Amino acid sequence: MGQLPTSQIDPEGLTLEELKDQSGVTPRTIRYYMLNGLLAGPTGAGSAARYPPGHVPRLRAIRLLQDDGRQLAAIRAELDAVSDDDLLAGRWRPNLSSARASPGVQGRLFADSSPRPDPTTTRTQWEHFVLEDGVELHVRRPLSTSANRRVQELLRFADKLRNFMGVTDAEEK
Amino acid sequence: MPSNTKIQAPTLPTDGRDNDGEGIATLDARADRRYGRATHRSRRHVLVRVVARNEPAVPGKERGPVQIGFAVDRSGSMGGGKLDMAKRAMAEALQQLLIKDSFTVVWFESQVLRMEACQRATAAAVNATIAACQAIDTGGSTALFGGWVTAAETIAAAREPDALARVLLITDGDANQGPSEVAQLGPAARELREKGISTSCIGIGEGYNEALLTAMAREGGGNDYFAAAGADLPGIVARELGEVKAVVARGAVLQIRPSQGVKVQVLSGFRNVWTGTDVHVDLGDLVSDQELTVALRLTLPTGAVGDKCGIECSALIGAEPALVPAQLVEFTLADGATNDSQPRDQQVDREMARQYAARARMAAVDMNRRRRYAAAAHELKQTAEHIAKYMGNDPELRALVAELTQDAERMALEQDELLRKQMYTNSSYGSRSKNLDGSSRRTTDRS
Repeated sequence: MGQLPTSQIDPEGLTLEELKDQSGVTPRTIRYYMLNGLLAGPTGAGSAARYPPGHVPRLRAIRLLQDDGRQLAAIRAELDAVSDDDLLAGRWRPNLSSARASPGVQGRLFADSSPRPDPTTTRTQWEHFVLEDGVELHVRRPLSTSANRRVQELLRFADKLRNFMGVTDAEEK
Repeated sequence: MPSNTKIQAPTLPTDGRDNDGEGIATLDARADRRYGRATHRSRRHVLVRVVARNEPAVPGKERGPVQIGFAVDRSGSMGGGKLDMAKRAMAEALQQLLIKDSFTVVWFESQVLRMEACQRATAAAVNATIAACQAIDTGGSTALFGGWVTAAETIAAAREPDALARVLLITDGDANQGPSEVAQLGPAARELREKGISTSCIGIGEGYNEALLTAMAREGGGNDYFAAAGADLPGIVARELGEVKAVVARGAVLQIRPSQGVKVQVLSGFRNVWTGTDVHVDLGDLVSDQELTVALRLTLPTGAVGDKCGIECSALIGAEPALVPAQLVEFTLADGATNDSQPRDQQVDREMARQYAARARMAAVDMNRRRRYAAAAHELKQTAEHIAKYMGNDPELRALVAELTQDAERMALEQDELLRKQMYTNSSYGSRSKNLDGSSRRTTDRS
């Protein structure tokens, strides 16, 4: 990860507005992350509230991991082990699942000067869905939006078929 | 295991510039069991409860403005007193509006008749509209789509972003002119909803299409009501207006994020979509103190003994997170003996049984209407037998099984359409946490 431009780092901390502008995350979402223990609260209260500069890359990291499909508890566990210094210096690199993160999403954490992942080298991964005992659907990810929509339709149809055939009550193991 | 943990909550900043995420007061989730089998994909159930902020109505206290459009059927079948009751119900509702509110009235039969453009609810405008409506008479067929869309477009042309906008559709018949299918009107209601105009529907008597009106209300983010007779209309319209005025959170969504390999199915009757990483359950506009329960069926992955999996539940209001802690429901994969000896959560079992019963009843009504009597009875009997497997000595579940068995006997024969509608509506309300009169369930209703 590239370093945050030093001109944006205020040693005395950032106001909520500045944090919003620099991270691109809305105040309500910032509060939601604090409420869920992903971000430390500010020093001071009211208009004197100030947030550490490390919150900017931390917010980007949270969004990146959220977009990758991670649950908040998992994100908190991963980022709790990463210091603000490491985030600011770009020493933390996410281990993203290629099944969910598009190259565009992966690029979001990186400053403009940073090297971006090559979109042509996205790994593929097979996901399998059990439609019924002995019937499985295998899907190679990532898929295009339209292909993904067709897969979702297929899964919905399989669900309907199962309900229609009265299989819904089986499998109470 | 379902730890149902609230993630640690530090003190929030208090600069108070962003408090509109607080329309939801609490969110909690609980599972029927703690373990899944390591060697098989197990089915588990989770009950998510959402409670809206309680904001009691205080006389004289300002509420937000509303924009309401009435789209009222005046086709031939609305004779026999129904049209008069619709006029009365509408007049009473209009008189409840404040000057900051606005309204429009559209009548439809084969033709669509709009009384006025959307206008402020001044005493003069309200009285003039009520007087003009007295001349309206019945006749023709049911251009439901045209009437509804005209009301919505009239509101859209005068849209005030701060106002809660809703179209209230009142009809006693099936749409038989213009687009008339669920597949057409459902998405159209959704589209309007995305533009900020929600739709509620009232069906009168036995002739209307409840699947159509339920879909329009569900996709349109509003409510649907069954009026057995025209005389029920004034009470229902007043209740609907009360709900519109009591909204504390617009466009609430329950977001469910499964861990890898967990499959989520929403059993409750709420609209839901898969976004690629989450299931979004559309809860619509929430009124003060409203309580919703969303029933989920999960299919867990297989894995090693001790592996964990589960879902994380959070709430959104208008695409931004609601300020309530996310809830993590976690399961542990276990060996057969541990899995088989685990206790069950009775409260979750009861709610799930009610949800399965509601689904079976709605399906049975549909089959009975199509003269598939044996299939209708089978549907109910099968659900009763399934619940009986785990009911134990629980008196509530035993009573439910007895009711379903009785319903199966009734549905084995052709039933009166009003009874079918009543059964469908009650089940549909139950599957979306509504009271039997169609109003939103509030925490105070339980006490």
